[in-house]
Amino acid sequence: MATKSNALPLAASLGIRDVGTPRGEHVQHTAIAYTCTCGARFQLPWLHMCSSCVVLRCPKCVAREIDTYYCSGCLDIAPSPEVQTNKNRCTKCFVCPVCTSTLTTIASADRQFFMACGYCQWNSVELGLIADKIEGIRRSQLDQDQVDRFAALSAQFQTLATKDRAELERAEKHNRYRKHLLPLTTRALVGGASPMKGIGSPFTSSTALFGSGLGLGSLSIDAVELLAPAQRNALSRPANLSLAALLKDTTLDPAQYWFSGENGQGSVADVTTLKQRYTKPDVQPELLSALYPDRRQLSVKTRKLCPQCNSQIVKPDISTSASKFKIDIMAISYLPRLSIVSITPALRRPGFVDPQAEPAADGSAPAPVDGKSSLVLRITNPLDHDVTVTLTLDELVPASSLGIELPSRPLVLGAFHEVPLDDDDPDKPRYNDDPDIVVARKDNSLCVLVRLTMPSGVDLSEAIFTPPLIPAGSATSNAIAFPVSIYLGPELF
Amino acid sequence: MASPFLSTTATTSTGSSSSSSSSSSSGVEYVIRSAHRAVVLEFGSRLIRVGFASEHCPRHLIPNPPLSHFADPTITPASKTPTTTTTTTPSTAASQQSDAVGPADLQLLFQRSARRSQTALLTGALVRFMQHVYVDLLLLNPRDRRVIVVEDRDTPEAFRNALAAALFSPQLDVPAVSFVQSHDATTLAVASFAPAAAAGKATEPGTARQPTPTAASVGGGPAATFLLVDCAHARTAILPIVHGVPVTAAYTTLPIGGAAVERQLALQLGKSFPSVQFTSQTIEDIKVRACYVRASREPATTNRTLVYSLQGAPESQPLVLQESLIGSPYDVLFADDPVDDGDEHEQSLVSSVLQALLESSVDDRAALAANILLVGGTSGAAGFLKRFAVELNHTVNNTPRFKSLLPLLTPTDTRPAFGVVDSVFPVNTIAWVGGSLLGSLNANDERFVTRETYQQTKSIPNWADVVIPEFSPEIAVTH
Repeated sequence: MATKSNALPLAASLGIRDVGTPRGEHVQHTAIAYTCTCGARFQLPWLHMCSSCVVLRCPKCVAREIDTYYCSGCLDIAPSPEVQTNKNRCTKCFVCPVCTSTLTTIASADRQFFMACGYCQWNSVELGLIADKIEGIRRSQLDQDQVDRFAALSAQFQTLATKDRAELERAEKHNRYRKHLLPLTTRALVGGASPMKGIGSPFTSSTALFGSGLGLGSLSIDAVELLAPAQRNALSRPANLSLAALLKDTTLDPAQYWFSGENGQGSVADVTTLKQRYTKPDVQPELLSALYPDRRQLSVKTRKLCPQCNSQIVKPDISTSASKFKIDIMAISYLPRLSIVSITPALRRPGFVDPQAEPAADGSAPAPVDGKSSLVLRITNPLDHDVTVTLTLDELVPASSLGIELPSRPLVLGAFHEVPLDDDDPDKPRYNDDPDIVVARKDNSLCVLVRLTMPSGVDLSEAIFTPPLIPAGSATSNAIAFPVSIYLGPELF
Repeated sequence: MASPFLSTTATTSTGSSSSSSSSSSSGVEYVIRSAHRAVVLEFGSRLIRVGFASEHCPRHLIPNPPLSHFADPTITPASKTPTTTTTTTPSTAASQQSDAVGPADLQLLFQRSARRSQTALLTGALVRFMQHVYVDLLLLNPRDRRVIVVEDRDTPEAFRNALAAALFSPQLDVPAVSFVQSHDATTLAVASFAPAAAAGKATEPGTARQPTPTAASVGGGPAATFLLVDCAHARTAILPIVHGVPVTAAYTTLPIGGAAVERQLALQLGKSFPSVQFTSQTIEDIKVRACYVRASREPATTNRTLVYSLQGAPESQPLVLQESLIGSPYDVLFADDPVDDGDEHEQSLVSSVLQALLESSVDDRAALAANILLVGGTSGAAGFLKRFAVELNHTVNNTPRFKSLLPLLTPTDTRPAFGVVDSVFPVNTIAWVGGSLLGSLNANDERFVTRETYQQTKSIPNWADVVIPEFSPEIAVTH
């Protein structure tokens, strides 16, 4: 009885109106941060727990692994062996090259199929992608020149690398000191006991890799110009354009086709944006009319693993249409939640005068507050059994400069019940609370008073508690400490 | 001669590689892993390219790295207190200001972390960015694949270390990383192989373009002599490469590139449309879709116009851009003094190219001049090639300094004239392609720093750190 009558006036004086259970109160003030096992500070809803290590895990320290591949267009699951061969693309869906929404295949009146975008009205007819079979319109762009040249170069360098390695090993076999005389290039490129191990440059000296005197690969200019790009030999040096030819070539001046619209006015309506160009890294077309539709890139569902024990912390549901999780161990369902209920304004700065304070009896101005303040914390228990919480101060906190009085006794938090208990006997105190400390209590939460004393001269905007409060303990097992830091910055007041 | 030689060496190489390799403790596992194609990454100042080795183009081009999206989600009280950051505010504001046009978050983040001399900030962002790349774009677990990083020659060591720390972090835990410099990678992508028979007379016009069956060209080495002009977003770099070896003495960088063009464009847009607010995205879009490089050095005489509107936003008010406006921002690249900082630079892009020619060996000059390779996204702008040719011609003819290069304007039977390499690969991915080529070779394990090595050394070897064993005559004699 005494507990209650004492508690309520104090709560009222601190401006606490609602001391009910904060059901669904998941959003916390950013001033309160829980420290993860890896040392990073996060708000509680960000954090996970590893059930086997019984430690906190945050987005920074969990390992992610791919669980399932699926297409976000048709929601089909892609079997993982096929994913790599299909270059991470869906086998069915195409995306609009202009706006990247999913294309639909449409049959015209004369049974001709083409693709069309329902969002931006793009269609594949202009590209010539219209056929009487659906397969006929599923074509993609490929720069055959680049593919050929790449394959030819790769084969040549592979031959060279094999040969160089052999030469190096022969040198090592016959005279192990002679190898220092070999150009570093060979070893850097193909391996071997090189002092340049792991170093980027494949060529530090060229004589072995680049035959001496053969540098002028192709210098004839005019002949190449006559060749169409597709006829270029993939192995030879890319064609050269001579300066004289460049100066003569008037088609290279963009101004002549830049203003080719009506009345000599140009328009950018048919020019691609960078984003559209980047969807085709090998072609990068500049005109919208040259954009081919792409197959849709697949998406993945990932599971999150504990980096220590590899046990699963988050595992998504296999169904692509469901956003549920099979496993999702969130710290918010295990750890006591802290939130700030109120801070008396005296905390603004030492010597602060409360404008709402009553004038003194003799009519003089209200006395400046002496830097004493109080902070009311609400602690909520998410577990379905009682939990004992002890608040301790981290030893890193300069307690001498900031006088923080924490409740010395352990606090018992009631269990969380889905349906609030109908406590029909309010006179029977279930907990032996100290009315000076426990301001209010209801169901699974309680409000605690923390007294703060600021010596004058301390700028509170700098006063950061790092981490001042450690609620620890569990009703059943050994106590586990979870460091929580409370930041008392200026914007809090 | 070629085929029996190759077959015997193939057996020796497999036999001795297992015995001689010092890091053969995880050999078996490693061979299995290298069966997976490596991931190839290139961090540019505007574009990040990601993809797989042995492919001719990157899978994804990620523009304008939104690394700030990957900034630390944790709660750092210091960042919430304005008073605590007062000391860094002027410099932060300055970097944000210079960042107003074309924000390269990567650079900004790097500057910030470098200023605080802590790479943890950058490493953390890179970890999250790479997680995004692996999970959302490449769709694979990072533990399975080796990584080849194509990096710029001037990449700060702190960035390379932060990237290595990110890739080897417990969250990503890649098996091995190799750093390749972008000019070396470019060399691979533009190298040409002369046929073995014609190797001695490769200078003859037309020889190299004969059909070259793979078997026949074993004897001929690759040829790569060119003048690399990398006109990127943040800067332009010029580097002559002779027989695959960079001539570092002639290496030049100019602080002009796509960002400078955007700054210029923003200034002119501000003058023409004082009432319109342009975001950096809009300015970039105008640069890409509306602007071009004027072919002539003189300003436009006609007064044509271009209607510009954002794509997919028909309701927005279209802008009518004057010909003089859209043709001029790129002039900053060819201006005589692009860096208007009071210094007597007098170095335009073209005069720097010519200067690099003068600084390289006289024997290589003709070959370099005939093989100018324009790479970097900015050099892909419409009309860039034409203007480059015009400026080159003008500067050689009218600058006394470059008088000695005048003969290179006209070809002779034995010596080619100025020319530009026309590569099949796009200008902004050519270095990545080289990295992909390097990753397609299965004999270069030595170039990778493995996870185990990194755990021991905690560093990535740099050329400056390498101690090349001294040649000891005594030992050589006793042997």
